[in-house]
Amino acid sequence: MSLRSYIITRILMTIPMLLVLVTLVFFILRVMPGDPVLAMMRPGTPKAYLNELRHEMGLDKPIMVQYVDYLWDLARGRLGTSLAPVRGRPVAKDLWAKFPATLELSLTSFLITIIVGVSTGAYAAYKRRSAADYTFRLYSIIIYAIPVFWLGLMFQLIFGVYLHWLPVAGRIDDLALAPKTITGMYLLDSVLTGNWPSFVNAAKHLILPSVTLGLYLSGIFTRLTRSNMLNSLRQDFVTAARARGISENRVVVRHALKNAFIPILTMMGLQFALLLAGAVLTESTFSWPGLGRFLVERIGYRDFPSIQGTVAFFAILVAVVSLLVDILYAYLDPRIRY
Amino acid sequence: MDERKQSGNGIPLLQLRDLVVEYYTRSGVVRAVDSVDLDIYKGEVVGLVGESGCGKSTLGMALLRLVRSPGKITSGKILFKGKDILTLSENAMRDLRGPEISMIFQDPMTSLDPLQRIDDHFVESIRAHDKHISKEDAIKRAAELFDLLGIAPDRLQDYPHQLSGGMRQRVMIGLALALDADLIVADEPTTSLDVLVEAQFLDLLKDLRRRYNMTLILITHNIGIVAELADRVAVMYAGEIVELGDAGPLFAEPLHPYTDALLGSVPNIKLDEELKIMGGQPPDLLDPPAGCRFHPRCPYAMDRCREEEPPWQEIQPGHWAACWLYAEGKRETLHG
Ligand SMILES: Nc1ncnc2c1ncn2[C@@H]1O[C@H](COP(=O)(O)OP(=O)(O)OP(=O)(O)O)[C@@H](O)[C@H]1O
Ligand code: SF4
Ligand SMILES: [Mg+2]
Repeated sequence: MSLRSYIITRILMTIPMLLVLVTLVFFILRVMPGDPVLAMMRPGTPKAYLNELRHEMGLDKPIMVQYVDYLWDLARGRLGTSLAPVRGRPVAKDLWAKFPATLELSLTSFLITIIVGVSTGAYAAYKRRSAADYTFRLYSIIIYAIPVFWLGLMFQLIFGVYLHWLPVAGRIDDLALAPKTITGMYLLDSVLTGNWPSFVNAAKHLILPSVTLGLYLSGIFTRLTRSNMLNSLRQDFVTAARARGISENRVVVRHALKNAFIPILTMMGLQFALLLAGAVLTESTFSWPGLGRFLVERIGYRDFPSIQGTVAFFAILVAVVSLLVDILYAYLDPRIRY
Repeated sequence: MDERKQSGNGIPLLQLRDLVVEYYTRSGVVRAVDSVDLDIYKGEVVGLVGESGCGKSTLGMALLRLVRSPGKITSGKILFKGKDILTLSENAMRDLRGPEISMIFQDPMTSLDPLQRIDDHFVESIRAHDKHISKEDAIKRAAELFDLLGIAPDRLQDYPHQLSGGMRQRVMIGLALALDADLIVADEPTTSLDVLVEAQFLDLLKDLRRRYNMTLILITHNIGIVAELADRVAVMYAGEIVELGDAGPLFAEPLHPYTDALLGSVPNIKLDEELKIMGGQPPDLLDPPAGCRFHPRCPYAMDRCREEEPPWQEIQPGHWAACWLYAEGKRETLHG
């Protein structure tokens, strides 16, 4: 199979998955107690008025009709408009505005996850049964067992409240400080525009949330890297490389770790969904104005289109990332050709 | 061999003195190489034979100080060109691996890094020992070797999985030659190859040894290969070398009952006795039998064999064995 037809097949395979997901979300939202109108209006608002509003929003239509309408819109790439708090605002516009913040947090966290997870895992494997090995293994279990928001709260307490080293909320102190928008990611934009003060300020805000999320996910990679590394250190080609007098560093990093990295990479694609889930919780903990916090806020408003839109967007993101990972996988491993 | 020894050819290339290698396992200490003495001379091919698990690979890896954990070289000397490599620093040892002593492993499928192109294996190995050689020169060197090994040089750009098993084993030889190794240790180099490819590979080895005056330790349990290639043969049993001699005499008239059984040349004993010899398992190295380790399986075992270790003796010039039959003057027992 050529790479192109592989990609097309993969995209086609995503469609049923996406369909199941949006359907589930659609119906769960509608059987949940409360609706956008109730969420919006003060208690005691006359029933007739509420019903009128429902009619305006199309919520009084039979549920199957609403569902078919929704799918039809979705198929044409229309995510609809918000019901609340600002009625009529296009969902896509909100998603687009919030996405860079989430992307920035996710990328930074993921970088921390990989650096921490892979280095601790590789070192633990290399020094098998040493104190470091046991320490890192314990770390990987504990960090994964801790709820991510609790970890976030602890960091806020220590580094924000007690030590006053770092801000505990938001992306930047003052919107006036924000760099000119290019990608929407403050760190990147301030580099691109050479805006040093905004870089420092944005970085300070980013540290706690990204370290929280990054460490939280790193435990999985510590364990994964350790077991793959143990396996690849045992391989004949590692011994053979040593037998040719290749330096130990090179044997461990260029041969053992590189080979161990292939299965780790597969795992990364799978972990991306977990990263997004973690981002939702972390964003709420740190008032990070991204998609996660947006989602939680809109759940409060029962803003169905926004919720559905965000979930569909996340799902597509996961599919795209896992496809990219697969392509990267094929690129790195010469034995695999699609 | 005698000639070589006396021809003033100097000291042997490699001398093992009382070498002991032990694995520290959960269930106890496994002495995989037990007080081995062995000299290897420049230009000779020495076959190291013995049943599975008798310590051949462990001995081979010990020569590079690469015994796998939980194994350790616990005592003895490995003199290479007269210098004890067990006293070398890890850095000095690394300089030795490749240019001085090289190793070829059993499974060429797994001995090359699957993510690394063949040419990069060469470049990496050559440049690990001489940074002044440019990448281009290293590749040129590899291409010349490929020519010699009978592989089209354009296969250098391939990844290991694109080559056949036979080609990969040639590549392994090529890597050893690229570094100009003085001693090559080949651990079951043909076991994973099919018969035809094995024959081609052996021809190549023969050709190379003529051309390069290669010194080779050939580890195998395939007696046929040893008979074809080796000048001398060392027979290992349960961690010890029990017989050593020139290939011709050793095959024609083995001195040790184990060698005799291994060769399956047991002309003057009856069939039921023959079965007795071939039967039985090699001993558990965690708890080897006292006296001669072969005694539980040996048809000639005497009381003395069960209690005392037989001495290592030069029975005929250049032909050594550890067996009580010779101390007791019962040589005729084996070869009527
Ligand atoms: N990693 C290890 N841990 C514990 N014991 C080991 C280990 N490797 C080898 N041994 C023991 O050392 C002994 C010698 O093993 P070795 O691999 O050197 O034998 P071999 O002669 O090469 O056998 P084969 O013909 O099967 O390759 C065996 O009895 C084995 O039980
Ligand atoms: S010493 Fe005794 S038991 Fe050992 S091989 Fe010789 S005859 Fe057999
Ligand atoms: Mg072996």
